[in-house]
Amino acid sequence: MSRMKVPLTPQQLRLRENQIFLALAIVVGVLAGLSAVLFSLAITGTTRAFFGLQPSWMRLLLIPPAVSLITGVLLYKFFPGVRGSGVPQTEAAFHLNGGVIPPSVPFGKFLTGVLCIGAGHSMGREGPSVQIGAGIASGIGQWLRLAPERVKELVPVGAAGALSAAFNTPVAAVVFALEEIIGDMNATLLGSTVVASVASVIVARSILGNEPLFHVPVYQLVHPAELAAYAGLGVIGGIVSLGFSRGLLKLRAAFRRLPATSQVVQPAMGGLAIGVLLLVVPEVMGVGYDSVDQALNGGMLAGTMAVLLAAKLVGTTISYASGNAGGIFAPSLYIGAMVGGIVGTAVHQLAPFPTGDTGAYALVGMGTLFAGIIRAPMTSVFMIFEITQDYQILVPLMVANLIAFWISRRYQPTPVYHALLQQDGVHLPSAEAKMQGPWRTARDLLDTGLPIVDADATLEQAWGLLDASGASAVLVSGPDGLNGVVTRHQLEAARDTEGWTGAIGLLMGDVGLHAHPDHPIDVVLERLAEARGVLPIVSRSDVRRVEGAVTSDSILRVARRRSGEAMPDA
Amino acid sequence: MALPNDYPRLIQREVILLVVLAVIASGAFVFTREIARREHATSLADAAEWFAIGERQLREGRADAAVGSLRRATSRHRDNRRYVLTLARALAANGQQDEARAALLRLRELVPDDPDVSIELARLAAGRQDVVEAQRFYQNALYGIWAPGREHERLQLRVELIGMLLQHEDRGRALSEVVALSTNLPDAAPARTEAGQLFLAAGDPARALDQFTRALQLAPGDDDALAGAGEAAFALGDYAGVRRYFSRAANLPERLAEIGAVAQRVVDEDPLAPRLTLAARRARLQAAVSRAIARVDQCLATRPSAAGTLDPLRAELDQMAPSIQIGVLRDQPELVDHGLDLVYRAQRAAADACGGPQDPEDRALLLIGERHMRPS
Repeated sequence: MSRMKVPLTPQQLRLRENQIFLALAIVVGVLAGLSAVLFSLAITGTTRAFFGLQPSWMRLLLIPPAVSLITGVLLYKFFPGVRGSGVPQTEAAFHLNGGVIPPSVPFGKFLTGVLCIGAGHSMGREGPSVQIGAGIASGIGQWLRLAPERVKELVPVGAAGALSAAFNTPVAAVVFALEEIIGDMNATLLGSTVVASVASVIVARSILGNEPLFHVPVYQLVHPAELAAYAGLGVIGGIVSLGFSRGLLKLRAAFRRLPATSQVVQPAMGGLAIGVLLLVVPEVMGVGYDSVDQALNGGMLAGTMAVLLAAKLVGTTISYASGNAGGIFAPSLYIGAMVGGIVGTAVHQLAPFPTGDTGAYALVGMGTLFAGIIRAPMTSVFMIFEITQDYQILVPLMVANLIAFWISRRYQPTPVYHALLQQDGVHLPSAEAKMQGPWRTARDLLDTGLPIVDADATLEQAWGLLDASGASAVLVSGPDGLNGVVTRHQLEAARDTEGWTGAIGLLMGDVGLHAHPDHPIDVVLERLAEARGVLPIVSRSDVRRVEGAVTSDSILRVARRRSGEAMPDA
Repeated sequence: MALPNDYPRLIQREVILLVVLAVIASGAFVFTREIARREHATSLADAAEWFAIGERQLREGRADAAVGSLRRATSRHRDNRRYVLTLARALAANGQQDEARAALLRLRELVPDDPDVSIELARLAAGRQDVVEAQRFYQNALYGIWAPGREHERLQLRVELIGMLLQHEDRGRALSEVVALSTNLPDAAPARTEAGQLFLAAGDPARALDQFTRALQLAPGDDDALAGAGEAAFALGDYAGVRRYFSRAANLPERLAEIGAVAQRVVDEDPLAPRLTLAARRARLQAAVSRAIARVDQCLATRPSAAGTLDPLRAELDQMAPSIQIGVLRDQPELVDHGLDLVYRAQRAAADACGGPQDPEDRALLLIGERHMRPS
């Protein structure tokens, strides 16, 4: 029996498109998660291949510079966009390149990241994972020839998927995508990032098991006065964050001032310094989560932690500034754990009140340094919460985080990721600029000067009002409220054919098409295109009440006014 | 916004490509899982190697290095209880008691019924003199899930717990643990002997004697059982029994030889012993009084400040000595009791003032006095 094929309506097609995008988000999440897992495994395998279980001093000294010579060539000749973390590049791709990331980027990042971190550079794997995941997502979007806005939307989706698998923290990954990559906690991409993050973490857990990244002690706020100690940790964490960010930026600037021809050997220069450092403090090799785990469980003396803290600060600064591929996520956590451990030990010994384990301070320290360096305080809170699965830790964590965040922002207004991009000549919009976009809703474009006439008014009366106001249309109201819209062009055409005597009600357009003041700008523009140039904006609480209209003229007028306001800052 | 005319076709294309991507993702999943499986196997091998290194370092007394190696082992194989247990031992050996305890507590969350974890926790607690926690973990270990064939270890653990309690002078709890131990003992002489010794240490010589007696039924010539039985009999005041048991033992430790000598004196020098002639009874009382005078004099010489207590007793002894005659004893048989009472009070006062008597004769006189004079 044959069935008649009914064509889909535009609404149905759009729904289908959204469903496909959601399915795509799942696939992207899975692939990004797999890439993060594979990246981590590859780093572990490479480290073992290079160093074995108990490396000789010669290996410790020579492998970092030798491998960095190779990665230096790769980074200079073939993959110039994959140096460093990858998070700033991902942000730049999202905000400035419409989400387009060349397909060579994820491949190059994987290769160079594995070699650099595997060869002992004191760097993290999460930033590169984010860039790889985002690159895969963008590549898929481009391969599918999705609309540009869809390609752009896939970037944070891929980033969230990768981070979710890398940290085994799905919620923190979503928050990171919104807070850091998109820069808007109210972003409409929440749904797809959540889907990707969940898909990714399911895949990662099915491969690696549901093992937390760190085994952490049970947290307890033993005495209320401990909050003061955590506040102190926040202050110290903020200062250390500031020192690390500034040191990194200064050393990187110094490397950049070297002759351009030296760029190919700069990673090897950093590698040599790391080799020397590894001879003295081998614990700073690579990601270093073993040491973090030890500090979290109170298995380290304060003196050891101080040495590791100093070595990690120096090592990561050198590795990153010399142009190797690797992130600062893991180093932030490492440094934070050591700072927290030292503070915890001091509090434990000196405080006149009972205190918790030093491991709890190390844990809060991790979040604090993450908030201070990465400047993603919400991500930090969620990440530590997901790692500990303990509500008790939230209060001291937030206290310490906010203090460190405030200190870091007060004395280093530009976040480190943005400052790194600025060194490369890339200027991202600030968080404030993103939050206060030029136009966000119909209310921002509203023209409240449109004249309103009764439906039984003559064309001449309407023309008089229109002429006096200089508007492009009049709104026609009847006894039940808004009846419709008549444009200047319609009036002119009616005047030429019917004269001034007819009632304006005869010319009214369809009032069914309208928007509300809180409608986003893209909805307004879409409807404006279908509304013959004038879109009435009506109240949500009473659709008969007209609040104004959006016209092409009103858009231009608001644009001129906004640009005039922006001029002094520019 | 107007949709392109070929929009439905594009949607269809996207669905097909999505399916292709899903297939690619499935392949990537299988590949990654295989890599992860291999990496996991290698990681476990590394962990085993680090564990072997750590164990060796621990045996060599290099606890600090062992901690580092064992941490590497446990970070690569977190669920391996053997690794964590050894790490905890290394941490404890390295003086990091809190860290050892934290590691064991984490492991205990995973395997709450594992006796080995509780044993280590108990030993740590005992090491820091936390008797309450130590006893709790010993109990947890005792009532944990033991693998078949480890019954002897379990018994030895209870013995260890009893030893800990006795070390901390908690005889009441120790005794209840020994009672529990005795109900689960194999019927073998060494086990019964050990239980008897524990009963003795916990202050229950009667149950101790029962255990030693059973041990002697199983192994009549067992020196340890004979020694224990003699000691228990001594504590029960059965001095003839002491002599009986000790005489059968081939080898006695010096401490018990002294006990045997004292017991012998108690038997030989008791003026109130039954079936004695009047002359023998007089001679024993006379000797006891003379010895008490000597003991009081010795004590007064070393501790003159005790004269207030000892001088009246000395005077009483002096007064009594001449009256110990056969004729007097025949007329006043109660004089033996009075004399022995005086001897006991003098010995007791000298012991309080100058410390417990070292001489077997004085000790025997105290015991004789306690045997007859102490209100029951």
